Amino acid sequence: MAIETKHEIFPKDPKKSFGLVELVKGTSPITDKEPESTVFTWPHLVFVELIAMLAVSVILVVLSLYFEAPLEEMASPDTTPNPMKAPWYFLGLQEMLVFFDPWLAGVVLPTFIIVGLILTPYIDINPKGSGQYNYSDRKFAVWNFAFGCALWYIMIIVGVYLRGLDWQWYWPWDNWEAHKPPSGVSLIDYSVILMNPPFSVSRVAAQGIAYATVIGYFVVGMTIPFVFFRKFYNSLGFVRYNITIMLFLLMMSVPAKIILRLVFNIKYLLVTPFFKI
Amino acid sequence: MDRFWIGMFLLVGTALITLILVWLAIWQERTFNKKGDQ
Repeated sequence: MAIETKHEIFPKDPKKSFGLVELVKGTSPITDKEPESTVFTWPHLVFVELIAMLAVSVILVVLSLYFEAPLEEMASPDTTPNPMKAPWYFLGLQEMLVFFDPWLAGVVLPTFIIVGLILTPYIDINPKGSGQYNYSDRKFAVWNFAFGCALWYIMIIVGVYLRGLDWQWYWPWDNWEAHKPPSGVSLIDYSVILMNPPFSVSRVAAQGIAYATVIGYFVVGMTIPFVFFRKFYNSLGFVRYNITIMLFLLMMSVPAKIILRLVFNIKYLLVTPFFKI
Repeated sequence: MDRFWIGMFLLVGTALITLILVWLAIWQERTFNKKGDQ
């Protein structure tokens, strides 16, 4: 029946040098879209962007004429400010130095952030929602990125508004003029806790457990989504899945490490001659 | 005790900012997507 209908709509004509080859059912990106609902990027978008760029430039120039930049006097080794704060956009990194080995906080973690952001278009191959605001089809991506941003900005907020003299923590209601005494809390390495009662294991065993804890965190973290969210694994494939989860676990390890130090007074989880975690 | 509250401030603050950003994404989807764009 269907074939007959096709023949009626597109009858074969021996006089024509062309013909409709076949009708195929399927979807394409422009299915169910009116031709009028799309426009060209140039000039419709680029022109607006150009105008916006000029407007922002003018606003910035006018603002810079009216507001002085907060520059201080020439730097002098005789008068060192306390606390010495980096520009606000670097205060997140400066704040991380409180909780991490400087090599990790200053070099490794920022590198992972930048590499992760560069890799994002290659590991996020979900085609849904491109070219539009979309939450419902990209829940993991949105939550993941929102959490990363939140982590970055909470560190900046702490650095800007809650760090006072000697880089101590000052609540808004504290006296910001008076030096705070050191907290008096002694931070202990994880392996030292293991070597003392009630665990009392040997130094080698303690170091082994420390290694196992850190490696175990990544192994368990990589396995759980593989077992319980197999659809997620299948949608990404082996390589993309490993990169994605590795970056995710590294991100989650930052708040975990901070809480370990603040709440459980653990200085480092793993101490090696090369780095401390 | 202060250290505990600092830890809680960081956790709750991070959660709060995350929720605000996700809510923003949901709001954008509901507000700006024209019918037929999906």
